[in-house]
Amino acid sequence: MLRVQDITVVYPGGGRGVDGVSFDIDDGESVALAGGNGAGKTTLLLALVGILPLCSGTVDIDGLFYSHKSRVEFRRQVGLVFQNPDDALFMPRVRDDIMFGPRNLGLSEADARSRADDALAALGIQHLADRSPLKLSGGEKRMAGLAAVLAMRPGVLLLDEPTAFLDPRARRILIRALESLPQAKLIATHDLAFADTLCSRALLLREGKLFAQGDCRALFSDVVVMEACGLEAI
Amino acid sequence: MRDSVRGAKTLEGLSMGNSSFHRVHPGVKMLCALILIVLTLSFGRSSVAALLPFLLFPSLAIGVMDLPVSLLAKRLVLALPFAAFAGITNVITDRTLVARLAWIPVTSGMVACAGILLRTLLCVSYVLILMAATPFHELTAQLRRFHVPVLFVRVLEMIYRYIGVLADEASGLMSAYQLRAGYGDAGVKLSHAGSFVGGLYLRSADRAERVWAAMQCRGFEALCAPPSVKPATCRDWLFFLGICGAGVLFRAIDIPALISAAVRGIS
Repeated sequence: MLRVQDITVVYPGGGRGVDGVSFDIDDGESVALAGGNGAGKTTLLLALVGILPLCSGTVDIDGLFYSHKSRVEFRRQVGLVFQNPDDALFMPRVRDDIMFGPRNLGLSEADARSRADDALAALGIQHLADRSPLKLSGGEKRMAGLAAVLAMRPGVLLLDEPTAFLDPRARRILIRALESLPQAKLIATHDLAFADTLCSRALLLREGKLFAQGDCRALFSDVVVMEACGLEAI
Repeated sequence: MRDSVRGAKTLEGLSMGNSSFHRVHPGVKMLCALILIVLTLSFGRSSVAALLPFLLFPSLAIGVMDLPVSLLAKRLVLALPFAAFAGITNVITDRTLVARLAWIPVTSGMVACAGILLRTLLCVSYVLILMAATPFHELTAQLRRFHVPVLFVRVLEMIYRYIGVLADEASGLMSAYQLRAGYGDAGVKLSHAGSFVGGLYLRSADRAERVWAAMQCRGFEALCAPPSVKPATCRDWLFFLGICGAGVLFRAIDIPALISAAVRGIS
């Protein structure tokens, strides 16, 4: 279980990116994180893996609290899929990008390769293994970025705007892939229909604060709440 | 610009091949390249013919690895202006006549210029072939095993990755300038150069931060232990002995002079 307790992130300029947010995600649960532009979704995800430092509060996964000392093990268990897959793909071949994480965990070449093969197979993208990330389509890059995180075998996946840049077909493929993954997921998105398909519960952020949470369908159809968060009800 | 980035990535992509040359231990390949560079640079300034046997090494590697010659040639050409500048200085300053080719006088400076160009081409080709035969992460892992300071290796890795980020951002930014500038594909106007460079710096720094964050999220630690590398086998050391033995032989014996003497003796 991922437990987030009263976390606050302050930007170097002094503004609060995240302000006293608390929530839990159970094993295997999928939770949507919605909010208008600048609500603090990406900031929250980056803070959960320690890329942005917490001013206060704690984050733990199954009792392992995030700290400077525990960061490597923590990041092995909590994988972040970036909004722009170009930021996460920097090796000459997709396979090497996927093996990058396992190699950093100190695994042998054979084990790292085996993990990469498993991650590629889990998403059905074995045919991309030897391609250059520079030559992939937006949807393929998204899947490759996801595979790179899956190869770390995390217990929780944090996904930042996973449907950004995707056409309807690539979006459908991504939904099927995510549905098949057993990990708990926290999905930051503006795509409420996508969130409604995948998630049972939603967290709504407004100005860095947790404004509302509850059942996806009920929350996304509440015009007053959605408009207060800068979103449109569905 | 995007094409040149793709070209660099292509060279790195070649390193994922599976030829017998690719399979040699990265440390052994690095040592071979280093020794060949030292041997090549140890020749005197007027040695040209004696260097010719060293062309065998790049030729052999290109053949075994099936490398695209045009890709290597383009990169070799990039190194030429620097060597040519040094060479031409010799042509201008040293005009001692040493021979005549038909009616063309050959000066000592011209010979020195040819020597400099040949040495440069050989050394750059050894490095390019090493890069085309060895994945970059294996090269840096091997540097760590050679006890090169970790900070130096990390800076090397970062620069290598940052060049791609910088070129990619520059390409996008230049397209945006050109599409709205109304003067075709002539590049960025001098009057826009300041804002272009400033914007490029900010964008690439921002992007580099995001790439760095992605690397950290996947367990990358700047000062972590060197990744495990398989030890060199007998086959690797045989390769080392073969390449370096031939190099030392070519350095010790002027084979073209021997052939020339033999031909003259026969005639």
